[in-house]
This record gives sequence, C-alpha cells and structure tokens, in this order.
Amino acid sequence: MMEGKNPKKAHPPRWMDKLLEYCCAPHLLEEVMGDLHERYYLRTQKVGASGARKYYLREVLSFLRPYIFKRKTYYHTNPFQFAMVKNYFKIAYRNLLSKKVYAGINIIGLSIGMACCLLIFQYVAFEMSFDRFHKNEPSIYRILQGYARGGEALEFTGAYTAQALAPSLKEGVPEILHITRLHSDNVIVSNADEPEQVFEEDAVLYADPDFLKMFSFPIIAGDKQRALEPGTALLSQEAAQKYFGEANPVGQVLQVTGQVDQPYRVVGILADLPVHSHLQFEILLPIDDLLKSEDYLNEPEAGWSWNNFSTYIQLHPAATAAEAEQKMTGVYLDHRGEVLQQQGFRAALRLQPLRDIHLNAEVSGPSNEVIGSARTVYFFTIIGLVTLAIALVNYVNLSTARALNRAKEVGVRKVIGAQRVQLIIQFLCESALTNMTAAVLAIALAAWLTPIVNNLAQTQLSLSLWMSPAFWLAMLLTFIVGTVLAGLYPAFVLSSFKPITVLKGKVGSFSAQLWLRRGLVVLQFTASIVLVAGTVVIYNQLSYMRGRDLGLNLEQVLTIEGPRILPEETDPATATTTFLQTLRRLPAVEQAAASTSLPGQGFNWNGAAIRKATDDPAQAIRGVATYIDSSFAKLYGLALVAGKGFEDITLSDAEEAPWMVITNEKTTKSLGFATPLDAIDQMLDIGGYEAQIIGVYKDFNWSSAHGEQQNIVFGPTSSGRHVSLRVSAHDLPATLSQVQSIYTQLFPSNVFNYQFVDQVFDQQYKNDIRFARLFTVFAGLAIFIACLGLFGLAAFTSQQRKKEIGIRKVMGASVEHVVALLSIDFLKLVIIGFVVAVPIAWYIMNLWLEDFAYRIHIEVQVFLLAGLAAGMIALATVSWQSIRAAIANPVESLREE
Amino acid sequence: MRRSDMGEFEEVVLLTVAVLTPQAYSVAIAEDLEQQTSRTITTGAVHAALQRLEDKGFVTSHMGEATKERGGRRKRLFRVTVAGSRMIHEVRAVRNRLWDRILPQSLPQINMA
Repeated sequence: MMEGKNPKKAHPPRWMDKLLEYCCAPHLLEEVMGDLHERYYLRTQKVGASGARKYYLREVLSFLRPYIFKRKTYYHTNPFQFAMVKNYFKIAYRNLLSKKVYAGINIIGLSIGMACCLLIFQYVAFEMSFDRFHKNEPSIYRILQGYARGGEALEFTGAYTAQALAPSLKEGVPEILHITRLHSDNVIVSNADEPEQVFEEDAVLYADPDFLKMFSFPIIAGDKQRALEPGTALLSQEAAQKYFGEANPVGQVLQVTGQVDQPYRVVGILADLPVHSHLQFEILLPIDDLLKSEDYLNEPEAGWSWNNFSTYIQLHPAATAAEAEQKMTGVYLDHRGEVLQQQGFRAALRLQPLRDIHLNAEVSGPSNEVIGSARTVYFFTIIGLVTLAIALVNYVNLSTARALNRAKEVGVRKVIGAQRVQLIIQFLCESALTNMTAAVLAIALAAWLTPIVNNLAQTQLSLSLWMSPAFWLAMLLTFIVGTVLAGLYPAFVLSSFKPITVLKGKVGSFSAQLWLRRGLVVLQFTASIVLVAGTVVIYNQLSYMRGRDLGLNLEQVLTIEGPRILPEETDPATATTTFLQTLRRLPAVEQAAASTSLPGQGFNWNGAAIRKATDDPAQAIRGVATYIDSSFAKLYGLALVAGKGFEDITLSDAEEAPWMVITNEKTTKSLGFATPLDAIDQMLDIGGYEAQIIGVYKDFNWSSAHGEQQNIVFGPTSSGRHVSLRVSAHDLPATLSQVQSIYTQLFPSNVFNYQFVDQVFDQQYKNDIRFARLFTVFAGLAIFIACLGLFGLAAFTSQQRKKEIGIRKVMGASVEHVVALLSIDFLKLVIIGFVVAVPIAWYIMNLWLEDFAYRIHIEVQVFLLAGLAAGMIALATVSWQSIRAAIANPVESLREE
Repeated sequence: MRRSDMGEFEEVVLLTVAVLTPQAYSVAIAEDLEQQTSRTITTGAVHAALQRLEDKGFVTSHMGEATKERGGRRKRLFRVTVAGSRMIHEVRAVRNRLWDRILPQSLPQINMA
C-alpha cells in the first residue's frame, strides 16, 4: 500500500546499488542484485519502507566479501588463440597493402631509423671492443705518471715512463706478474739480402720478453722460445710478405736502421693484428737491443731521465690494482722522490686498465696507438636513438590519426565479442608486422651502407660483427622495443572505442590524441632542428679552425724528411747544409729551411721546465721546444716583436752554450716579463740548460685549434732533419721529381718522403672532419624521416577535410587561401619546435665546442638558418599535399553522399 | 567423517536447501532461517555459505525464473547433491549416536516448549 503511495520508496537506495555494481563481479551481479531487491521487497511488506531501507545497508555490506569482488579471469576465450593471431596478421597484411602510402611511410621511416641504429651500433660495438680479445685483458694495466705542483691535484694525462721504471717495479712490487716496456719507432728496414730495397716502417714496436706472455698476439709460425731474444725479430704476415715475398721468412735476416743499426734474424710470424687492438705494429723487436744504443747507455740519472717508454703490467690474479698502485708509487718515489721535490713536484703512479685505453683521448702515450673518442661514441649513440625515436613517432602519429578509419572495425569486433585484450594484441600484431618488415629492410640497408659510411667517415665497420649473437640480440631488442613503443599507444586508443558510439557513426572527442600528435610533431622537429643547427655549428667551427690565421704561412710549403742513413764520413749538419744548398739552386725553390719538427707535427721537447735563471726551480713553467735554422722564420713568416732572429746572428755561435733561443710572446708573459722587450738578453734555465733569449716572435699557432697556446721556445740547429721548401705553384710535378733526384743522388739507400705542410696540418682535423660528415648524414636522415611523417599527416588531414575544402571552394575560396589554411597548422608546430630547439641546441653545441681552445661563438644566425631550413623543408612537404587538395575539383569531393 | 569441512551455519543452510527444494534460493533460505532461529540472517551470509557449499560439491545450482520483486532478475536455485546428502546423513548419524549415549541424569532438566 505504501508502495502505491510512494513508488520511489519501493526501490532501494540507488547509490547502494551503484556501490554494489561497482564492486560485484559481473557474473554474480544478476543473482545478487535480484536477491537484494527481493529481500527489500519482502521487508517493505513486513516492516515498511523505512525499516527496509535500514536493513538494506546491512544487506549490501553483507555481500562485500572477497569472492564477490573476484572477477572471472576470462569470460569468453583465451585471447591467444592461434587462429585469431593468424587472422590478426592477415588483417594487418591487408591493411598494409590497402594503405600503401601510410605503410610505405612507416616502413621506410622505420627501416632508415633502424639502419642508422644498426650502423651506430656497429660503430659503438667496434669502439668498445678494443683490446677485449686479450686473454689476460682484465689484469693488464698501463702505468700513468701524474705530476702536480703545490696544492694542485695530480694530473694523470701521460703514459710516458722512463726505461729504469720497469726493472725496479718488477723487483719491488710482488703483485706484478709480468711487466713490459714498449717503444714505437720509425725506422728504415730492408731485407739483408737485398740492401738496395729499403722501406720506411713507422710501425715498429720494441718490447720486453714478457710482452708475448701478457698479450694475446699469437705466433703462427717459427720458434716461440726464441721470440724477443736479443737480435731476433717477429713479423706480421703482411710485413713478411712485403720483405720476403713467397719465401719462408723464418730464418731470414732484416737490416733495421733506427736509433741502432743492426741485423735481426726473423724467428717467428705473428698473425695479422686485429684492427681493434690499440697497439698496432708490423715488426716486433727486443727492447734490449734498443737500450744498447749509445744514447740510452749514456742516459743521465741512471735511466730515469727520459720518459720515452710506455710500461704495461699484468697483475697477479689475487692482487688488487689499488694496492699495487700504492706500492708502485712507493718504489717510484724511492728513486725519484728527492729529485722531483727539488723541482717542486709531487708525483704518483696510477694504473689504467687496458680496456680504458682506446676511448681515453685525454691520456697520450709514446707508442703507436689507435685512440678513439668516448665523446664521439656518446654523441652518435644519442643521435642513433633520436633517429629511431623520430621514426617511431611517425608510426604513433599515423596510426592514431587514422584511428577514425578503423573505428567501425573495432566496433564490429567488439559487438561480436572481442575483448579489449584481444584488440590490443591485434594492433600490436600490426605494429609487429610493420616493424618486422622494417627490420629486414634495415639489415639490407645497413649492409649496403656500411662500405659507404666506411669510405665517408674512414671508419672500419665490418659486417663480421653480424656474426656475433650480441648483434642479433640488439636487433631483436630494437624490434621488440620498436613494436611495443610504436604499437602500444595506438592499440590502447583504438581498443578503447565504445561499440555503440562508433557504430552509430559518432566518434567521441579526439582532442587528447590531437594534442599528443601535435606534441610529438613538435618533438620531431625540435630534434631535427637541433641536429641541423648542430651541423651548421660543426661546419662553422671546422671552417673557422681550418681557415684561421695561424701566424704561419703554410701555403706552397713542401717538406722532405732528411736522410736516416748518412753516406760515409758525413755528419748530419753537413748533410743538411749540402742538401739545402743544392735545393736552393733549383729555380722553382723560392726558400729552403731545416728544422727538427714541423707545424702541426708537435714539438721535439714536451714538458720542458723553463724558468728565469735567477728564479727558484719550483717556479718553473712548462713549455715545449723545437730547433730551427736561420731560414726557418722567414720561410714560415714568423714575425719578430722584439730582439733578433737566428738570421741576424751566426747560427754556430747560437749553438754554443749558453744557447741562444727565441720564444713566443706567451712565454715571456708566463715568465713574468712586462713586455717582450724586457725579456731580450735575459738568461733562462730550460730543463737544466742555460739559455739566453735573443728574440721574441708574435704568438702563432703551431698546433690544432683543440689545444691552448703553449709556451714555445725555438733553439738553434743547423742539422734539422725536416727540410721545408717554399716552391712556386708552377709545374709542381716537375719540381718534385727534381727534388727527388737530388735526394736519391745525395742520400742513396734512403726513402724519399715528401708532404705539403698545409695538408699535414689539416690532418690534425681528420677526426673532426669525420665527425662532421657522419653528423651531417645522420642529421639529414633524421630530418628526412620527420618529413616523411609530416607528409603522411598532411595527406591524412587534407583527406579528412576534403568536403570542407570542396565547400570552401564552392563558396569562393581561392587556391592560395586553401593552401594557407592547410599548411599553417603544421608551420605553427615547426615554429614551436624551433623555439624549444634553440636553447637545447645552444647548450649541447657549447658542450661540444668546449673541446676546442679556439672556438667560434654560436651566433643567432645559426639558429635562424636551421629554423628556416627546417621550416622550408616542412612547408615544401606539406604544401605538396595541400596544393593537391586545393586544386582538386570540388565536384569530386561533394558529389558523393 | 570430516566435520571440519562444514561449519555449523553451512550445515543449517544445507538442511534448509533440502527442506525448500525445489524452491531453494538465497532469499527463501534466509527468510526461512530467520523464522526458525528468530535471528536476523543477511542474504549475503547465506549467499556466501551457498557459494562455499557449491565449491565443496554439496549443492548444485541453476538459474531459475525472473520475478517482478527481483526487478526482472533471475534467481539461482540450489539442490543437494549426493555428496551433500551423504554429508548431512553422516552428521545426523553422529549426532544421533551421541544422543543415544547420553544418560538421562547427565543433562540438567530444562523445559522445552
């Protein structure tokens, strides 16, 4: 009766029903809800509505038990049915075929992105693989010597050690299992049977006998027992072929002329060295023979004076590097502590693990080493990932944009009974198919590009890496990550459609995805603009470095390396003088000079301690020195700011003690002279030698722009081995052959070597040029992929707005108007991308520039140029589509429906 | 005999299912028990007990007809299985044997109505 009066009360409180609906598992809901309502009805009969309502809460709560909450795992079927998965791939395949443009964009973009990743992976894997092939690699270290003055921190930047270090360490540090000194040299070598046929070898390594016990350089022929005994040589297969041809090299004799001149009997052949060894050599000789040379026998301070050797050790398996370091420093200071203290230095030894040597460009060593750059490796790893990310973004953007077209399919599938999980799996399958195709293409592309990149960037990537399981693991990982990253978000979006809504033809709001899509396009263009700006900065810096005024005139300067083997009864000074005089007679030779080193090729004396003769030794500055003759300054255009040059005095006087030297301005400033003029005639102490400053040259750049200006001292010499010729540009080949014939006439059994000094100087930028080239390639690919995506989106948008455009045109809109309408949205995104990119590019490129002592300032124009370029490319991409849409006949788009 | 398999409340619910068959469903059982024990019995408690009994195999169920009181929803009807029948018979036999062994003077006299 109450029910009749107030029908609302007949119904239990709705909110409690809602609570139950939310909590209760669907398969239980019907009976539970029915039970509750019936009970409620019965109660209203008995105690009235208000009583029943009071009970109702208790009733609802009584149902809140775990089993009520627990959902049945799958109501219908297992989503991983084989037949369905087959169907997914079939549908995915048909989709790819029917939408060729989108499929093409996705697959091309992804395959380029993956190929970039593969190439970079090859490069990174190669750089990381250095020296890992040695069996004892984990326990091999190189010794670094670190110095500091006063409160400064010790600086471990050199692997230079003296010959006496290794023997004393082996005696005093029980942790050391094996120890070897190494010294690379440039020598003249010939087969002793054919003394006429001489070769210059710059890859000769002198080593202690322990060397072969430590490093895994296998001997493939000959006598292992005799290896590295005095008077024996080991050759690489290549060198053996070079000197002895097809004959058996073992037992043959090589004549080697370097610091020592002696014959070596070949006792073994080494397998050709792996390219990923930081030590590279063709001929291995015993170091004891080198140390028998007069220079080393008479080395001052009992062999502790010249740091010409690198020292490698192998620790006992049980020893720790830290302990060994401490003991080694102890032994070192026992010998050298006092001397160093007098000079005001503190010092210590440190162990550098073998595997760290290759990617550690900060540390230099005396051996012939292959040194990579860890920074380059990082840079390229990031670029590779960014390129792949841009390609993945394309996939996400195009799939969500086209979600509308798939909505009906999703609706029908859901009505038939597809679960969300199944739909997600379906769309992941589509992504997997696209990624799989792209991966296969990427492998082919990478294989095709490898030699091109090798050629362009002078890298040594090889396809042999593809044999390693690590490579395929990386490939699989790229594939899986690509599939999931690209497929997951579209899969969630597509599978979330409500069947009723989409089948009615309504599609809910897509604004969230629209924003995401725009955001992703902005990201793509941010990355692209950063890469383009980076390319511009790198090329600007490169051209700045290569074009900057060195203060040296290197144009048309031909350099010839003087003889190593002198004719009988000739001393070096006479040889040089005769050679210079003969050369000067040639009409094409304008000037000729001799020196002990050349611009761009370092100095002869590094780390010389220079001070005023009256100063305390502890106040010495560090400098470098090279020796030149009286014509050198004029030939290279060095400008005096004070005093005299060697051309103004008699060179032989200058060579007498005390030396007469010329410094650069920087040295006079570092020494504390107020003006260069004040330095003239002052006495200096250079590494223990007395010297007098007779002139000061204006600062000039002897080395690459990477390094700071150094304190440079020129000493006098009349026997410099490097001869520089300023030649006229006219008929160079003739001049060269004339010079060569003079050389071979004067110095038979020597190898004629010539170079143009500006080219050699430019060689210092080899790595930078390589970096710039690779960077450009990857930046270009990245922006290409981004544009592919933009092209797809533009095609989609103009398709989507076909009717709108038709109506606009019917109403009188012009083609330009429509094009502007369609392009402006995309341009806005590029502009936002530009705004985001500027600070990022500025920051990253400044980081890169920090590596150069002489560097450009990044100017606004760089960004404007990059932004403009990106904008133009984007505009060109988009307008292709928008113009097509705009000139289409409106009848075409409007007559249907 | 595995008494531990069945609680007292479950036993009562199982017996009531037997009493009310073929119209044994949670609301009817709860109402009946309320009448029999003069305590408030929630539907949820009965439903949970039935669920457990079904899990143990003592009852089976099928969906019955829909009624207006239930808002057009179907009810789930239960019946006792062979295992359930054996179980309540065993319980009853144990109780009977125990009753038979109680000596008359052992229990204090009470007045049963």
